[in-house]
Amino acid sequence: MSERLIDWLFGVIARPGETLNEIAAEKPVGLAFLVYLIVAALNAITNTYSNQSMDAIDELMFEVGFYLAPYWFVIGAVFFSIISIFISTLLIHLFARLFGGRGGYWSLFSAYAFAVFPLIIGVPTTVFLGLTGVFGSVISGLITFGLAIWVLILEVIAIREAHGISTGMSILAYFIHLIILIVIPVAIAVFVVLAVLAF
Amino acid sequence: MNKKRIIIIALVALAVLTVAALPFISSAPDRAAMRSGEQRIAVIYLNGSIQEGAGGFFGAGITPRYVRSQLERVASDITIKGVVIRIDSPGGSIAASQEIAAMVRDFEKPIVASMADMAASGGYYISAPCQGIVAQPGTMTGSIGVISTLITTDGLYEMLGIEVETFKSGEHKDMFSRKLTEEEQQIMQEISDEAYRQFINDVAEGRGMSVRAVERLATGQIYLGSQAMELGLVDRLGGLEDAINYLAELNEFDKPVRYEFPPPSLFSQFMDYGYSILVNLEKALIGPELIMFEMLREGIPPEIRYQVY
Repeated sequence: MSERLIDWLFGVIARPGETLNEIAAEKPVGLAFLVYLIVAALNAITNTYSNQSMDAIDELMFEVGFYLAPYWFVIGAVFFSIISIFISTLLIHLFARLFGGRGGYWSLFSAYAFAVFPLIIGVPTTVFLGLTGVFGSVISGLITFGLAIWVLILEVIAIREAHGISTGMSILAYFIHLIILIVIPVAIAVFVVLAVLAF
Repeated sequence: MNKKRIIIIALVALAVLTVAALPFISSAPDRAAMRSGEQRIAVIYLNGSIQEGAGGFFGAGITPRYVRSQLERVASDITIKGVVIRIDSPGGSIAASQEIAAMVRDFEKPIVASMADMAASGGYYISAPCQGIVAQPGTMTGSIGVISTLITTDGLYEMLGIEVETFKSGEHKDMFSRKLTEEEQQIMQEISDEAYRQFINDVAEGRGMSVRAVERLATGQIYLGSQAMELGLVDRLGGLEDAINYLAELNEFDKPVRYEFPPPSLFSQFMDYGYSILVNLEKALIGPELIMFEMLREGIPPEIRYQVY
């Protein structure tokens, strides 16, 4: 099993199309969720405990007027990551089906979860470049941005391989889900604000 | 072990080790401690003579620039709730003492002075505006007064065979390069009296005492900490930890924690020492005669100081 896992993790980086297709076919849901959880936890810890984040959190807490232990930010981020993968894959699955996809939900879930693996590279770069001052923080930000684009491409490939649809349709499914995830909370917030103002 | 395995294990291990190292390279644990309700009290050490520019081989001394940099550091850190300045100084120049005292008086966070072996004259002047003063029973403090010195170099010029011709506009313009006239001695005394009056007024204001009460103590006399306590110049007897506890008591901090700034990096220390190394190297190369000649040419300025003498 460990040999397979290493093959898949290496394949996500070196041969993403072929590997994500294999993962989608085999549906290793538990293993995929574990990989996703570890990457999410490592990133959450790094982003919370790096000095720049601590400064920002301190400022925020100071403004708000109460203090929250930093581990609550880690727990919150991991919890949000877990919720978001289920909601994201569900929405993407629905739109992929709408665009003629034939894959199952757990196939998409497995491939999508493995696709985040390259984000692990951002852990040491964020911490160590962040220690070198402003210039290091800028470089670290650029690396994080690059990794986000890489993972976005891998997620589109995961949709394509799990559902057997074209790359264009996969991109469409991905961005529609993204718009919904952004538009719905904003719409709810606007509705709540308007409702409060009306009363 | 094949290449794939090495790459993946290295990536995961690097990420995990980085996270494991975070407590040692991040300020998070300190901040977490702060969130648990502790109040950090920064300790700033002020040792040596009070002067405008850093002196000595290692740039030692208390300068307004150094004090400002330390207080700015405290001001920008929201985890620090108060400051204890640990003073060991015989005093020094008037303007530098006044500038530091003003910074202490106007600082946004509470400051308590902790006196070490000596905090006299200018050392007392910069302590006076603090919220409280803590000294050891054997600390030498007080010495509220002004000392002025003027070195006349006429004899030295004569000894070196140097003749000086002076052209001046303004009756007293050359008064510091020759022996003072009676009128000029009077001028110097007035200057000294004015600086003395400023010292008394500032101590009275800082300590919440009447000017008359301070005048009675301002004989230039040194007091031991125990005597100063009886006279109202000091609030409590004790050391650094007592000063931290006193600051906490005054400001109702229930969990005060001593905090000391990490030392400057090796590079920054090297840069600081670099200049003084060059200056001392120059002195060693040109020899004492040329140094003396240079000093005579520039003139030896009069010194009016809040200093133990």
